[in-house]
Amino acid sequence: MKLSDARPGMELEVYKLPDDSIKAHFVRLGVTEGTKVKCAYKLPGGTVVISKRHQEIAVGSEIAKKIIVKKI
Amino acid sequence: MHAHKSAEIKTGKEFKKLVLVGNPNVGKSIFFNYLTGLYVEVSNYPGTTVEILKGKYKNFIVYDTPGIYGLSSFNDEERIAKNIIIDADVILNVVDAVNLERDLFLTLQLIDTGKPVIVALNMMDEAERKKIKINVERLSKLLGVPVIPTVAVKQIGFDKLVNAIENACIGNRDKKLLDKILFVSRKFNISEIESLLLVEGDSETVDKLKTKFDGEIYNYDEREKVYIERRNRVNQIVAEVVSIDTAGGRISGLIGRIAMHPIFGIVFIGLVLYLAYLIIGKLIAQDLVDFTENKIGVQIYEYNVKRFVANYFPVEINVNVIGEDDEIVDSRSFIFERGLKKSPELLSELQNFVRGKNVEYEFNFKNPILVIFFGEFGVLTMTVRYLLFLLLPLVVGFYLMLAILEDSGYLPRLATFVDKLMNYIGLNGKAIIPTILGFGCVTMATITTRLLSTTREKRIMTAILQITIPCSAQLAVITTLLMRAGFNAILTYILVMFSVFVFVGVVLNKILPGGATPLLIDLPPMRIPRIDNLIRKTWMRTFYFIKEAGMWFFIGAFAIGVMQVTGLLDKWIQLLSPLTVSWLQLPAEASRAFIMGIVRRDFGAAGFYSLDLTPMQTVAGLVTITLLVPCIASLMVMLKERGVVEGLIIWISSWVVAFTVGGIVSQILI
Repeated sequence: MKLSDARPGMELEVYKLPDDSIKAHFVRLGVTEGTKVKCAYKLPGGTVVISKRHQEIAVGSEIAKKIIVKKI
Repeated sequence: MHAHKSAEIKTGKEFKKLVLVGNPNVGKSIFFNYLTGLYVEVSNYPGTTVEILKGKYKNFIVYDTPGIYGLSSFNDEERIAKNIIIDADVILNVVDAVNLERDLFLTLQLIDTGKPVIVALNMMDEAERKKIKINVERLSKLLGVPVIPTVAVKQIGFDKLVNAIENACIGNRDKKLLDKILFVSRKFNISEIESLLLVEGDSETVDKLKTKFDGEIYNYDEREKVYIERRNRVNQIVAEVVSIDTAGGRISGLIGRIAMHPIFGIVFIGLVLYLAYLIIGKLIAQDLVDFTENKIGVQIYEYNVKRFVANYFPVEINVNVIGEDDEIVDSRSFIFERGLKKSPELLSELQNFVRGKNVEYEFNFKNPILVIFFGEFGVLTMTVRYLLFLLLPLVVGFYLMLAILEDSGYLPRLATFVDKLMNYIGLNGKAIIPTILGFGCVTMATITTRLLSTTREKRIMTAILQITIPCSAQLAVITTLLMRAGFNAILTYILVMFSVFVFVGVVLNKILPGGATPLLIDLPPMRIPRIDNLIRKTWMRTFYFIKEAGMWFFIGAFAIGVMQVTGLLDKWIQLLSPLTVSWLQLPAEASRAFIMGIVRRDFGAAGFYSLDLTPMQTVAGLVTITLLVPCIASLMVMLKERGVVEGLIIWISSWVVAFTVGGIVSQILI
C-alpha cells in the first residue's frame, strides 16, 4: 500500500521509494528500501510522520503518495 | 607556511580554514561560539540571504555552515555549505550521538571528499540517558579520523577536541569510489571534491562544468549507487559500534507528542501564535514602541537635536498645547529669523507660553539642507528615531522569538502542521512564520523570509507580505475606522483582503517556474532552549540587522527629504488626485494620505480620520492603502533582501494592485 494510506501505530517496511532526489533525501536520512519504520502520526492534510528508532521524519502528502510500504 | 611575521598574520595568509559541518540541531553553534569567542563576523553569503558566521581561533578562520544532511545542491543552505566546504582546509564534523545512523551519512561523504576531518561526537549525555552505548575507539578506527566524545552544552570534551583539531586527517575513503574520483579528477583536471560532487550528480557542479566538457560529464553521475553504498556502510558501522540496552522507548516527550496531535496540535499552534502576537504585535510593537518612540525618540532625542540646531539657524517653531483628551487646544507660532541664541526675548516669551502646559513642538527650518537632515523626515532625526527607538525593540523581540522557536525544535513541527495549507500559495510550512509576523511588523517579517529555503519561496512570501498584510500599527487605525463604518464594511474589507492574499499567492505560484518544495524533514526532539544561546543568537542577528539595514534607512530618508524640499512630494500627491477622485471616488485630500502612508503606514490610514467618508468609501480607501507597500522602512528592507530590481517590481506591482483593486471595489460599491 501507499504510505499515505498508513494509519498511526502501524509498523511498516519501506518497499519502494520514488526514483529521484526524494530517494536521495531518504537515503541520507537513513531510510532505504527495506527499512522498517512506524507510522507515528497522521496530520490533517495528509502529512505522515514516520518514526525510526530515535528519529522522526515528516513526509508531505505528495511524497507519501509515491512511497510503497508493506505492513508488518 | 613559513615565517611568523605579524604582517602576514594580519593579511590572513597563514590562516587555515576550519569549517564546522553537521546536521541541523546537533549543537554546532555551541562549538562555534566556544572556538571563536565574542569576535564574530556575520555576513550574507553572496547573492543570498543565508547567514554565514565567521570567526577566529588560533591560526584558523572558523566558518559555521547551515545544518545539512548531505553535500549537494538540493536547497540554498546546502549549496552554501557545500561551497564553503569546497574551500575548507580542515572539517570539524559535529555528530549527534543519538542519531548516529542519520548523521554518519554526511560524515562518510565528508571523508570521501579527501579533506582532513575530525569528528565531535556530541550529545553523549543524551545518548547515555537513552542507553545507547557507542564504542568510540572502534568508530574512530572505522572512520579513520579522530572522534572526540562531547557534551557541548556542558563543554565536556572541549579541551580534548581543541587539542585534537591538528590531528584531523584524511579518513578511510570508499575504495571503489576513490578510484572513480581520481579518474574523473585527472580526466577533467578538477579537484577531488569537485569530482566527488560530479560523480554524485550535484547539479551545481554539473552546470558549472558542462560548458567546459559538453555532455560528457553526465556519464559519470552515479548518485543513487554511491548513496546506497554509503548508506550500507553507515549501517554496517552503526551495527558494529552501537549497542542499545533498551528497546527504543519513547521518542518525543509529552510536549513533542501534543504538538503533533491532529487536534491538540492545532490548539497548540493557536496558543503559540497568539502568544507570539501578544508579545510582539502588542507588547512590543504597540506598548513598548509607543514609549520608546514617542517618549524617548520624539520628546527627548528629536526635540534636543532640533532644539540644538535651532539655536543657530532661522526656524519657525509651532507650539501645540495638548489638552486632556489628546487634542490640540491652543497653538502659537514663533519665528526666529536668526536662530534662538540671537533672539533671547522671543525665546523667553516662548518659555513663558509653554510653562506648566503639555505641549508638542514642530520645528520648521528654512534652509532646505537642514530640512533634509533635521526636518520632518530628517536623516538625522526621523531615521535615527526609526532605527533605534522603533525598530530596535521590534528587532530584538522578533529575533528572540525566532531563536526560541528554532532552538526548542518547535519550528519544524509547526511548519509540518501547516504545510498543506501553505502549498496552495506556492509556499511550504515554514512560511507561516513570516506571515504571522507580518501582522506585527512587515519590515521584520520581510527579513524572516530568510527562513524559507528557495529563492522562489522568498519571492512569493515577500510579495504577499508587502502587498497584502497590514502591520499592527496600521491594523489599529484600520480597526478604528472600520468600527465606525459598520459591520458590512468590516466584512467587505476582510473578504476583499483575503481574496487578494489568496489571489497574489496563487498567481505568483502559477507564473513563477517551479513549485513548492515538497515536505520531507527530520523532526528534532523538543528541548528547552538554552538562555545563553538565545541571547547570543538574538544579539548577533540584531547587531547585523542594524549594521546592514541602517544605511538603507538613511538613504531612504534622504530621498524623501530631497523630494520634500524640491516639491516633488507635492507633485506626486497632485499627480494622484485625479485618480483618487474619479477612479477611487474619494476626496482629493485622500491622495495625501496615500503618500504619507509611504513614510509611515499608520500615518496614511490615520489621514482618513478627518475626511468624513461614507462606509463604502472607507472600505475602498482602506483596501487601497493596505495594498500599497507599507512604510519606507519595509521598502528599504525589501530592496536589500530581494535586490533592487525585484524589490522595485514588487513595489510598482503594489501600486498597480492597490489602485486596481481599490478602484474595482469603489466602482462596485459606491
